[in-house]
Amino acid sequence: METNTRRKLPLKVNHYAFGVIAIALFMGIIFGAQVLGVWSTSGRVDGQGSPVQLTGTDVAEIKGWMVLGDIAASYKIPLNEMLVAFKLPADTPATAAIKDLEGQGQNFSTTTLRTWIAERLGSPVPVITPSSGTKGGSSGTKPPSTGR
Amino acid sequence: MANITTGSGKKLPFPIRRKAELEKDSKRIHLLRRASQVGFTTLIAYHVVGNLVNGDNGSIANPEAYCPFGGLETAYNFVTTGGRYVAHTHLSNLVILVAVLGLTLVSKSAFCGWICPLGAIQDWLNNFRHLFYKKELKVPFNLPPWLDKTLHSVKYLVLAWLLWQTAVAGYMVFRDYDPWSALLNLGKEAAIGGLIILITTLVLSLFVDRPWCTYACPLGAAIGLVGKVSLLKIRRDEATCLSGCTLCNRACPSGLEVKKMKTISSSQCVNCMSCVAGCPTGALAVRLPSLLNLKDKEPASAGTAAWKEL
Repeated sequence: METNTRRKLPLKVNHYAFGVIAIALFMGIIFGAQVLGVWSTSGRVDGQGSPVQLTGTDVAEIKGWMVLGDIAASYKIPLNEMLVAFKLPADTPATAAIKDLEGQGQNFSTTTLRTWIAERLGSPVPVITPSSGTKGGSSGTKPPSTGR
Repeated sequence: MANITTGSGKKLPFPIRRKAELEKDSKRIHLLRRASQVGFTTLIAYHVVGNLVNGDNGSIANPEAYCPFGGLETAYNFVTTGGRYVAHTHLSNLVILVAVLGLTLVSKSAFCGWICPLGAIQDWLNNFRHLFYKKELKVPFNLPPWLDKTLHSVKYLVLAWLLWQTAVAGYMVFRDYDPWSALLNLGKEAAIGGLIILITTLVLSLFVDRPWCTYACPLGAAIGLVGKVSLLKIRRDEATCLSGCTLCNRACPSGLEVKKMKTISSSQCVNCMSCVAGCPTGALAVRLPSLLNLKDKEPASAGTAAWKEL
C-alpha cells in the first residue's frame, strides 16, 4: 500500500494552546473594554468611573439605590410631600434608599416614584415598566395621585 | 509516540501514542481546564461573599454585573431605548456578552467548558459522585434516546421564550427562575423559583453530566447557535482514525459518539478536549475549517490490530 503522509489537512491548533487562546481572548476583550472606558459594574458610576449625579431633569435617572433626600433636593420636592403622597411613615429618614422602601406605603417603588415626580413636574410621564424600576416593579402598579 | 509496524511488517503511515502518553496528556489538559474553572469561579465567589459581607455599597461589584446572560437580556432594551439597561444589569454585562460571543465565534463552546462557573460546579459535583459510584450514567434515568434528544431542544425554547418576554416586559423575566442568579444572591434576595431549580440542578449533577447545560441553559443555547459558525472546532480526520478504537467516545463526559462525527458541532460538546487528549493517532484535533476537499483518505484499518496490541 502506497502511503501518503503529506496530505494537506487544515491548520491544527494544539489543544493546550486552544485553552490558553480561549481564556486570553475572553479576558482580552474585557480588559480592552476597560482600557477604552467601556465598562461599568454599577449604576452608581458611569463608564469613566465618575459618580452618577442626578440632574433633576429626567426622572429616568432615578435608580433604586438612590436615597430620598437626594431625590427631593434634585427635583425640588419637599421630602414630606413625597412621604405623604406614598403614605410612607413620617419618620422615614432622608437617607433611606428607594429599594429599601419598595412595597411599603402606597405602591412605593422606583417606577411609581418616577411617574409621580414626572406628573408633578409636568414632564412626560415615563412608560411604567419594571425595566426602569427594581425588583418590586410591575406593569400594573400605579403611583398615587399628585392632586392636580 | 511510536511508529507501529503491523503484523504483516508494514509500517503505519502515522505514529500512535501509547496508553501512558494518552493518560498523561488527558491529566494535563484536565488540570489546565480545572485551573481555569477554579480561577473564574473564585473570582465570582469573591464578589458573592464580598457583596454579602460589605453590602451593596459599591465597594465590591455585584456579581450579577458579570453575567453574560444579563447582557443578552438587556441588549434589546439597550438598543431600543438608546442606552438604558433593564434592572440589575450594567455595561459590564453587555461587554461580557460580547466577549462570550467573540469567544464563541472563534472557539465554539469554550466558555461553557473553560470559564462558566455554573458549568464548573456541575462538573465538580459529577466528579465527586465518581469517588463513590464509578458507573457511567450518560443517558440519565435510562431515558429513551429519542426523548433525551428531544429534551435537549428545551433550552432553545427557554431562550426564545425569555428573550421575547424580556423584550415585551422590559425586565429580566428569567431572573426568578435562574439558578445562577439564585446562587449569586444566596443570603440576599434569591428568588424561590431559581432556588428550586438550583437545588434540582445540583442534585442531578451528582448523577448526570451538566444537567442544566444539557437541557435548559439558555446561554448555552445561544452559544450553541452561534457556535455553528465558529472557526476552531474539534475535527476528526477519518484517514488516521482507527476503525476499532472508541477511546474518544469513552473519554467524552457528555456521552457524545465522537467516533461517528467528522466535526464536533454538537451544542453538548463543551470543548473539554478529553477526546483530543485521548486520541492515540491525533485524528481528533482542533482544526480550522477545511477549504479543501480531502479525497485521498488513508484506510486506517491497518493500524487497528497494531493499536490493540499497545
